[in-house]
Amino acid sequence: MKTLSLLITSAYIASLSCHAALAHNLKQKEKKHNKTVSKTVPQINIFEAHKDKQNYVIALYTNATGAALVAYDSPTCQANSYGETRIEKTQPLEIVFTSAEDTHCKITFKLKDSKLFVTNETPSCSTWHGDFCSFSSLSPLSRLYPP
Amino acid sequence: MKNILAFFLIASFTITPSTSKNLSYANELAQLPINLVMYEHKANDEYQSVIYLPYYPAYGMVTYKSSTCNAELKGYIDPFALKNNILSITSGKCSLTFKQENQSLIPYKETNDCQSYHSSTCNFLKMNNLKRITFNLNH
Repeated sequence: MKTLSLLITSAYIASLSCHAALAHNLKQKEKKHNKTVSKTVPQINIFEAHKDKQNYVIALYTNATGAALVAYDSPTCQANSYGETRIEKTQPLEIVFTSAEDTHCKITFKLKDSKLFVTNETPSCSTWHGDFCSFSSLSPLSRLYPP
Repeated sequence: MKNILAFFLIASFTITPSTSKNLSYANELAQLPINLVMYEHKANDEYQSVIYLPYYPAYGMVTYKSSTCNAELKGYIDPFALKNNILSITSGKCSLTFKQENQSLIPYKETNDCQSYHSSTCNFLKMNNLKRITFNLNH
C-alpha cells in the first residue's frame, strides 16, 4: 500500500515537472515568435525630400548591398531609375547607387543622422533625368520609413 | 437586330465597371503622399518586401530574405496591369506577378526563368501575403 502511494506521489511530481517544462518551452517558443525581425537582416529604408512640387524618393538598404529605386518628380521632370547600391567597407556611411540602365550613372549619398545627402552625381545620369531636374535644389532626404 | 441589342447589353456590362475602376485608380494615385508604393512582411529573421514606382517609367523591386532564401528581383513593371490590381515585375525573361487585394499583396505567378534569381530551396511564390505600408508626411 505504501509503495503504491509512493508511486502515485512520484508520478504526480513527475507530471507536474513535465508540465512546468512544457509551459517553459511554450513560453520560449512564443518569445521567439513574437520577436521582431532581427537587426542583422537588412531592410529597405525609404528616404524622401520635397519642396513645392518637387519630390524626390529613394528606396535602399543603408547597411547592405542590394537593389534600389529612385524617383524624381516635378512639373518639368519625371525621372525614375532602378539599380543597385554598394557600401564600401572603408566608408560605411557612403552609399553609391549605380543605375541598371546605364552603369556610368552613379549617385553618391552620405548618411548622417537619419538624413541622406547627395554628395555627387556623374554626368551620365542626366541622360535619364534631363537638364531640367536639379537634385541640388532639394534639401537632404529625410528617412520616412522605418519611422 | 437581336445581335446588336445583345452586343450593347454585353458592352454596357463590360465597359462600365472598368471605367469606374480606372477612375478610382487615378484617384488613388493622386492621393499618394510619395511617388512610391511599398508592401512588407516581417517575421523572426525574415524580411520580405515589394516596392514600386507607379508612374511611367515604372520600376519595381522584390526582396525575399529568410533562412532558406536570399533572393532579389528588380525591373520594369506594367503600369496598365496595375489598373486591374495586378502588379507584374519583369527582368529579362523572368516575370513575377502579384495580386493587389485591399491592403494586401498576394504572390500569384512566376515564370520558369525566375529560377535563376533564387536558389532551388526557395521560390517567390512562397512569400507571405504582404501588408501595404502607409506613409505620413509630417514635415
